[in-house]
Amino acid sequence: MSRYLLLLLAAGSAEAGLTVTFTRDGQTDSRTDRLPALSIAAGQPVTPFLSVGPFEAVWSGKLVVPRRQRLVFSFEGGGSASLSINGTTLFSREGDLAGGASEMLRLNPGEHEFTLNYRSNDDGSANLRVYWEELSFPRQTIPPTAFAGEPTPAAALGGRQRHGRVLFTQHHCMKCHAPDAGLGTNPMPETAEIGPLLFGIGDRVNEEWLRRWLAEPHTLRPGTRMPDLVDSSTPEGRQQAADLAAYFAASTMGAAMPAAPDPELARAGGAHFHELGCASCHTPPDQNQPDLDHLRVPLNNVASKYKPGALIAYLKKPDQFHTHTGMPDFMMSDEEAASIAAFLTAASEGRETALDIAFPEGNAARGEEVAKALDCGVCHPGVPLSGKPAGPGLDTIFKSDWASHGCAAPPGEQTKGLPVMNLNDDERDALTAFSKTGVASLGRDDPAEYARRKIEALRCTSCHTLDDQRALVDLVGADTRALIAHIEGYDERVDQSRPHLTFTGEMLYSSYSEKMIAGTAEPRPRPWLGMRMPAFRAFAKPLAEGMSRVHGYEPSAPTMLEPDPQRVEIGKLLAGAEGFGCTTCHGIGEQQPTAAFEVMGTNFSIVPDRLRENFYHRWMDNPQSVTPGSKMPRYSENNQSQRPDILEGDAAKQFEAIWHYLHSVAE
Amino acid sequence: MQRIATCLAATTAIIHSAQWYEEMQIGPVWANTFEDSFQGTSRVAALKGLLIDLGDDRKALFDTETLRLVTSYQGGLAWGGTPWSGAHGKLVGLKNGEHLFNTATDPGWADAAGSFEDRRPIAGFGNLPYASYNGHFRHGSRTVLDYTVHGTRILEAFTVEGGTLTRSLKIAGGRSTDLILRVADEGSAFAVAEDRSGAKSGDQLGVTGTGGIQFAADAKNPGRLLAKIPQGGDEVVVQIALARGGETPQPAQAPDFNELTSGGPPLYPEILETSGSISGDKNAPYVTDTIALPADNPWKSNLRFGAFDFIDDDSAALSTWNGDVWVVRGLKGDWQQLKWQRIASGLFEPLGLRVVNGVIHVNGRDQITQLIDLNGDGETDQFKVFNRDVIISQNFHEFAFDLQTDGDGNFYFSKGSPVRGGGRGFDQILPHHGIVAKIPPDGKGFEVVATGLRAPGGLGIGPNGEITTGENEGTWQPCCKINYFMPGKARFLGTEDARLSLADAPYTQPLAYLPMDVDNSGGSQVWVPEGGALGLRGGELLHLSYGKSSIYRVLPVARGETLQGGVTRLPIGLQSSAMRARFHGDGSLYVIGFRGWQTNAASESAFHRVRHNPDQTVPVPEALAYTATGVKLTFPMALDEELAADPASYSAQRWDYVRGPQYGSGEFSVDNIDEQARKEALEKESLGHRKRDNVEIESVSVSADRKTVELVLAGMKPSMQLKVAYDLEDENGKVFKGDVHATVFAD
Repeated sequence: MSRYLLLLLAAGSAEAGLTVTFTRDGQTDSRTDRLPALSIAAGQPVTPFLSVGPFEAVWSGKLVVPRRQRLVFSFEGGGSASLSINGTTLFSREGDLAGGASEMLRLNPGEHEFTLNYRSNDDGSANLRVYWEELSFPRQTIPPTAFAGEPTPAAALGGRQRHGRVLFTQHHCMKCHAPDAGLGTNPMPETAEIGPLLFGIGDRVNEEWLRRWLAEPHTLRPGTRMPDLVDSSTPEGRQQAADLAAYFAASTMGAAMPAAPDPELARAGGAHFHELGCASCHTPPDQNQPDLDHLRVPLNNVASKYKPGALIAYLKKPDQFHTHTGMPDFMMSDEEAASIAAFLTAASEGRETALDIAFPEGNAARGEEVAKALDCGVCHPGVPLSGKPAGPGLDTIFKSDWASHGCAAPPGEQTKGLPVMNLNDDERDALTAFSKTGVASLGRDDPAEYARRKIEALRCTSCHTLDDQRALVDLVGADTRALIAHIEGYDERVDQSRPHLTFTGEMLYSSYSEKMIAGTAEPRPRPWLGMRMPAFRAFAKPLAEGMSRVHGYEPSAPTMLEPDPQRVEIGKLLAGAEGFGCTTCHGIGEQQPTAAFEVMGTNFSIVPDRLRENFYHRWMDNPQSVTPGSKMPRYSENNQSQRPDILEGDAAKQFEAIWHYLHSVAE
Repeated sequence: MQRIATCLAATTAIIHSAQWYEEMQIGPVWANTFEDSFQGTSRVAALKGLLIDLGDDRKALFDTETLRLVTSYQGGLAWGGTPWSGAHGKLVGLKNGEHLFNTATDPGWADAAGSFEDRRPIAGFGNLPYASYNGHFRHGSRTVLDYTVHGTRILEAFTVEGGTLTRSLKIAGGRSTDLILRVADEGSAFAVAEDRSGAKSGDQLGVTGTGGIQFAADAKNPGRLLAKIPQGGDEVVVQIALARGGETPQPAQAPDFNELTSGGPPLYPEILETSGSISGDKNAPYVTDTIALPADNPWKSNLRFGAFDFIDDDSAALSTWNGDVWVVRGLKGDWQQLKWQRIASGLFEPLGLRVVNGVIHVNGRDQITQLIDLNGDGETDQFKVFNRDVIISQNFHEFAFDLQTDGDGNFYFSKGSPVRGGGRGFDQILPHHGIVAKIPPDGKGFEVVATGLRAPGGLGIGPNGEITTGENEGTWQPCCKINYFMPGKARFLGTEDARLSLADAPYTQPLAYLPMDVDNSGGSQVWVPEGGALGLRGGELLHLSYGKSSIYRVLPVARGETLQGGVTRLPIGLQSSAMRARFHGDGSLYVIGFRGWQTNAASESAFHRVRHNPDQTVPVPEALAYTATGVKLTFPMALDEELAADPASYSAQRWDYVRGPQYGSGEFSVDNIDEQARKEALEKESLGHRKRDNVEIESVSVSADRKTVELVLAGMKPSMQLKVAYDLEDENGKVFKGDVHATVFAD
């Protein structure tokens, strides 16, 4: 699957989704959307391609009903909204969108035309969530999986523009093409991201690997954003690569490195490699053929790249020299880092990507001059710069035709001396489409779109299922299964399923999402999982905020609920052995689950810190509708609890009582 | 002073808030698998152990397989055991580090050659070929063991006076051989008196014998003390008194065995009363009446009922997972004064119960026991072995499920495989793991009629001898299912690790696979009695889902000599799981369930009566048929014709599973077969793979009586799962919707 398709998946959905068209001041912008929801603060743009201020939005597509349903629709938020199904306006609301509901509509199984018109508040802020309810389920937001549709041409264009915009920042184009007057107060966050720092890189990597990397980065790692800066097909280019390698190899700080990993640890390291799901983002280290389908980062050059001990240091703190690295921090123990390093080193030994190139002897002094001439320092701060203007200013390049000029031009048409980006046709097309939107979008940050981009860029769906897209690790995990074959009982642990991302923005308070992404959530919500959530520190706050806004929720932290004593007592009874027996699988603080078998649940004491109440009720009503295959039992149907003797058998009231109880045991 | 035991209960000093199992009075005898400490090493003390309460926190453990007294000590328990502490894998442990005596893990009685070597077909497991356990008698809180060695019947009772334990053995006459038993295994050598009437170990375990019993230290192991009862002779009572330290132990007065085996005073004389709540709903097709359980009982017994049967129209016997049997009386009345009696306790996880000719048969993990009331007070005085051929291990998951009989009086039960903690893979597989067992009416015999089961929570026996079982998702079981087969030849039902003797038998496919949202843990099956009941026809099959607390109507479709078909859920509400069900003579269906493993049961246990309101139609399909182009569904009422003829009133999906060594299975497209995904599913768990085919309903035709609809599907093809959902109205506009989950085989 191409990165373009992956982007579409994140921005909307490649398999199912709505098209949304935003209009402001006569300008329009379209994209695909997983669900109709907005959370736009005053002063934020609704999309990067429109200016800040009041706007209108129209979602259109198909509402997919798997069976005949008798549905009632409603909204929450502010502004005005009007919902049409199959061309008939069903429900409209202005001002405070909460309250009221549509007439019941009977829909036969199949696809139904869905149109939702929305107008923001006058100050340009917006807040919208769309709900439905039926006899068989309580009022809840319409899930993303209920929508389908092919992108309209306008949405497809919007997708290409967005793809081009993110490529522009991923290639650090603005490091050479500086904005003439800055990007304002709300720039696209990625414009501030920088490449790896090369201070003391000679302590960490080998000169031989540097030569190959600088000569042909795309051969060693297909998909890398590192451009070709030398022409390795020429003697001059090979000399430049050798000189640069010599220069960087001489850049040492004498940093203390851990001892080289003990090769005896390789077996244990292989097991950790599998356990942590490394294969979701990396091909196995003994594989020297790239994974062009999923663009997993190859590891076959690890042994030739790292100096003894340096790999351990990297694994322990992968963002030390690259704040915005996509490699997350697993907060590995010394044993894990040392054994994984031993495994990677042993397995990749002799498997490095060989180039049919004979490099001349490098010269560090010449290399420094080359580095200056190439202005490596614009992307890698600290490397000396030439002092020359790096490139035409930002406003200038947006006036040119990228399809035929500059760095994005096709091979052969590119002006000699520019970095070779190794763009494919889709990427060039996307960059060109983006160029035509002008420079303004780089000065606009829409947190929800940021989250969509980062979910793709950070490969969140490698480990987490999103809507109907299964986590990649479920598909490629078998590649490394042999690494744990020697571990008896490996498959005999409780269920190791990872949480899905489909509802995360609705499910979790953003304050908790931020802790999860930053790696600071204590205790871990699922301590029984061998595969743990690593830290993506640099992105935690905006990503958590964006994920929340995608689902139409303002970023928020839990508010204190004063538990009602009467409901607490009922909730306690229902949760305990005399009720639903929740405590069989769920612990409460220090109290362990009484008899968890095959599956465990999160500790009740952290629930109030995590879950939004709306989501809690969705989950309690029908866990399998949230996480297909979940082993969490379902205790009600049509709001009829299996305990008719408590609270008149009203499931919603019973779940509310448990909610109060959960708040009474919160830590 | 003679100390008479009261009950095994609260054996641990309670400083903190006690767990329920620490407070429950289990009774004077508790059958279970126990571990203990022997000469500093933890071991499985007895797979089929009887822990006998000797009073004053003193206990003795008897292994009913090796017929050996394993240990006697004063002290408490280290709690484990799934029905007790909930632990998976940890056994109930005896804190016998400080003990009166122990014996090593070998047979308790020598074979005909005088050897104690374990020569059972599988060392460590099963009955001794030359000895058998017959059960035990209860007299008040005293216990008399009943067993046979080399054809000689032996009754054994225990008395504790001071620190001396006296074993009194009444041994039948006419012994064909010397009977040699192991008395104790010490870490130091025994010195035996010259007249062989007593002995003492270096660690001061003193032993005294009466009645002509002769002691000897084992020639190869002087720390092992043996005792011999000579062959021939008349009936004799011999005694072995044991005490550690101090003076030579003096045997207690020999008990009156005739008195002790004739019934004694009850342990649980209180008759508890509860009432039932009877639904007055006349509009629902089914109503559920609920019998209040005597949960607040003097013995703090945890009432998780796992099996029952009617004794007569007015009373039923029910067994609990924690070993009780209760009788409830008053079922024929208005339920305002239902009377409960605890008639037995201490049985080994009895999840099957059948009353035959008035005799209550209880199926536990160790044996099928007949509960005999010798003195007419209602309480069990004799726990008589009916059959105990089943070979078990210490695995926590190898439950013995259900107890049913066929028309010839043969008994059947199902047995789980030893699933490891975590649910994946198995511990050592023994010959009776994962089977359906058949026991002849006289209890003398044990036939394996099916192998390859993983966790068959219950079974059913049909009017023509049909055998059905449930099954649970897990290793080699892609999902839950209903097995169905006729007797005649043994069947292999899918779990390769538990093929046992059926090495070459083909996999017997089920009547239907069931996805996890339909059933995630099967219970019993029950057949509607002749003449019909519950608004259903006689001879129909119902399937109980323990996991979903639901009862399904099975819609069979002929498949050669066997059946395929599907299920549809009956609109019956239950407060606990659906574990066991039996039809009452009045046509109602009694259902019990409890919560012991994964289920959506909303209470620990419940005992229900389900009635059909005769004026209300049961709003589910009553027949399913496969055609060359689709399916036919027949409903019990005339349908609104417009909706019935509208393809949009229906939806269909189909998918396959992959049966393999991984836990469960994902859902795999039938229309677009992904061979690679199916292959990978054999190597890695595929539960996240969900590729159901949405099958277009091409057309619908409605029968003249508007009760049958024939759906033409976009391709009718074999699939392990075919789901057909409907959303219809009857001719009065009443909405009813539901679904059928079926399996379509190629043949």
